[in-house]
Amino acid sequence: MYSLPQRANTLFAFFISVLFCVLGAVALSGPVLLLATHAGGRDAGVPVISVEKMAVKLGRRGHYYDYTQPMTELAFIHFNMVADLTPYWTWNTKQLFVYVVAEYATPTHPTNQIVIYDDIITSKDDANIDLRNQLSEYIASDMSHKLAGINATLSLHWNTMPHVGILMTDRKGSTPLVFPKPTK
Amino acid sequence: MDGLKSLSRLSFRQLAQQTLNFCLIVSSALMIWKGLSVVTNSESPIVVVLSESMEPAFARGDLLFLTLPSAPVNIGDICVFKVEGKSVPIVHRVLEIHTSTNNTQFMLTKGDNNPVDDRGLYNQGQMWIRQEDVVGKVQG
Repeated sequence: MYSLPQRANTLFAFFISVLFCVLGAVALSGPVLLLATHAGGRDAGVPVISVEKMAVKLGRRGHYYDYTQPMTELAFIHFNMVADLTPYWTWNTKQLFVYVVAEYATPTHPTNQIVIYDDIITSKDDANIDLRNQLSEYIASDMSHKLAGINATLSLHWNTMPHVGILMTDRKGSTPLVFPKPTK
Repeated sequence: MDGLKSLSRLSFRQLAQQTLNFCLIVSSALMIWKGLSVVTNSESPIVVVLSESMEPAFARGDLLFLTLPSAPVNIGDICVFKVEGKSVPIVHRVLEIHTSTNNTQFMLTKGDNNPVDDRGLYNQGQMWIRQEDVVGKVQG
């Protein structure tokens, strides 16, 4: 009746159920610890973002040597940012995906969001961000091919990616900027 | 062969029961999958990652749980989308969103581990992904 394979099977089934219970608890711990941070008043302050210098130049987007695309105003932004995301780092955090977003409105498109810089943070020590005169990683441009004179805001977004569990996104800060006239 | 012999020893009634049992297992698996599809509103609620373009967030072979919310896509969301005319879905992060007055979203995507955006993966001359192209949003 109680043969060796049968015992092994029972043991394995029990192990699997325990494993899934533990994983479930770990998955829950992410949001719960985040709520505890908010409730305990241990939130990080608002990140300080400031624009160092900006330039708008004319160029083409899309495939290389695709001259069917029209000339587009491309914005290059140098910015400073001081932000401390260490309070949001828990033991279930695999990485923080941090990105700076420029947001603006045009008459034809009421909301436009462009990521100008991103960073993948894989340890708590790196979650204290201090960027000086950082050039934007991605060139900002609009669908209307015009950017000059548009009022935009810069804000810091971050995406918490857990070892096990759901993804969580949050944002903070708002720094105004105006895109300048294009230069050569 | 032994299995077949023992099968032939069974009566018709037992044989029918075995077959029905097997059908029940197959159909319940299908029902769970389709039920999940209905709940998440996504044609394939669980997908497997095929490339290293989203390292270190997702490695090859990772399973992702998707939903297709009716709400618009947010910036920084990881979306699964299909480029028109290509059958393989792509799991990448949304880099740019331009929403027009009639609420059509034009999106540009990029893999975290890729140096450049996805315009090289789109069709020749295609500059944007639309909301119709998005198959699902990664939840965890």
